[in-house]
Amino acid sequence: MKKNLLLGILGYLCLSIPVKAQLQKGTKYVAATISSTGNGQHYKDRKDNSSGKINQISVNPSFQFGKFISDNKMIGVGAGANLNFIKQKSTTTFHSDTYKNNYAAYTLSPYIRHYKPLNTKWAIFLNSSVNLSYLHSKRDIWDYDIWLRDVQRDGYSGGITINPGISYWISPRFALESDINLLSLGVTYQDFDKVKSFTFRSVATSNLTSYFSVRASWYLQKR
Amino acid sequence: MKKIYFLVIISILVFSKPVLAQFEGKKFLSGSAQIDFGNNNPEMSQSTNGYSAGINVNLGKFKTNTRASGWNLAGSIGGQKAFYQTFTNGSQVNWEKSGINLVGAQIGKFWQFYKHFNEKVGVFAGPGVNATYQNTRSYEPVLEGQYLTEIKSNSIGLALGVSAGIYYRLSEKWWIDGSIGFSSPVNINYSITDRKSTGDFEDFRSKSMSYSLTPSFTFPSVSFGVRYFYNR
Repeated sequence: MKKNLLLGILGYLCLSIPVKAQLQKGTKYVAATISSTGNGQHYKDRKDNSSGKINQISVNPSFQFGKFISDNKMIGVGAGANLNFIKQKSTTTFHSDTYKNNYAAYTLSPYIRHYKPLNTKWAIFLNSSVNLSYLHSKRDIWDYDIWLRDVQRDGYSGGITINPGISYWISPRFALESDINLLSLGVTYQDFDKVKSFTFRSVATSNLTSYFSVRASWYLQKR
Repeated sequence: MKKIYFLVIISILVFSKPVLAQFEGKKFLSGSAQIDFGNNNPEMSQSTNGYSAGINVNLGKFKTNTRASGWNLAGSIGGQKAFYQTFTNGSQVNWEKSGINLVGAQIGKFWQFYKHFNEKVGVFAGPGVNATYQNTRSYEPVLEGQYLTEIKSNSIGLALGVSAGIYYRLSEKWWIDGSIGFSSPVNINYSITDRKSTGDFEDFRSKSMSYSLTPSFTFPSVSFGVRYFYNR
């Protein structure tokens, strides 16, 4: 009698225990996210008849490609960019000049990620990555619409990041993911614009931030 | 023996399919209203005051048992009486500025999708779109207090967002709402700002258009409210 009940409960549990097909060996993974802000401003000083324009756009796309090398373990590579464009033009009765400032950081980050499924919809993961960035800034200067010169700077940065994250499956192939801050470890070395800097950051907290950026991810299995 | 299987099956059915109340066609109302007034009367100078009022109303209707949609309307108004001093060519000038300095209005449409866990508790989430208008006026002493600049600003904005919440049914007519989290991935704003100062020191207009696209959400965002069902 008791055995039957136990078996019944076990059977019920088995039905609800996740069989995470998405995290099996061989599954391919693609993820992407983008964020962008922009501002365009035009001003006019009616007193001395000077005017100006400031346009600013920042775009941050990022992609991840991966493959599960064994169950719950994925290796892959992330590629991202941080692009900033600023154009500033000021005109007075006697003079006009224009600045164009572009700043870009291109990042390549190979990573390894361990998943732990919680149920059919949710999983947590730990992501360890190496980040390599190339930094580039260029400033163009015009005087009366005549190009004067540009000032260019190049640099690089490298680092290691370990952080956890969470996945939520909306459909078997599609999930939303977010990195979380409970634990993170990062080491970065940067050499840019004649400045060399080194930072080490480690955070262990039980205080969850309330701000999560989301990326869309696809888990593609062989048929 | 068979009884146990029967019990297990029954318990599975009961836990996975609760019997639910009917919400279709029900209309609800929630919101806030606020009035503030403050007066400051110092012994050595003239009295100043400030006041504001605002209202925010959500009107919704259940289209089906698990889907509701509705409108959000909000308005605010504020004003003050304040004194400013400027020192032009060594002589002191006093300025009294009073009247309305803030007018705002908002109209929005929201959609909510519900999952009712049982008779009492459920969750809801859905998208919304909001249009806002705001007009403000303020004053600022410039050039080390020599002149007083009036800053007038008009702005309109459009926002697309997603929000999620939880409810608890106190009774047929009253629900307690809790907000769980929200996301505002798309925002567009256009504003015109005029700066005009005394003594013709400044006369300046700027027009600004800005947008943001941020796929992120804020969670948890805890706030509670009350919802009233007004149809019979």
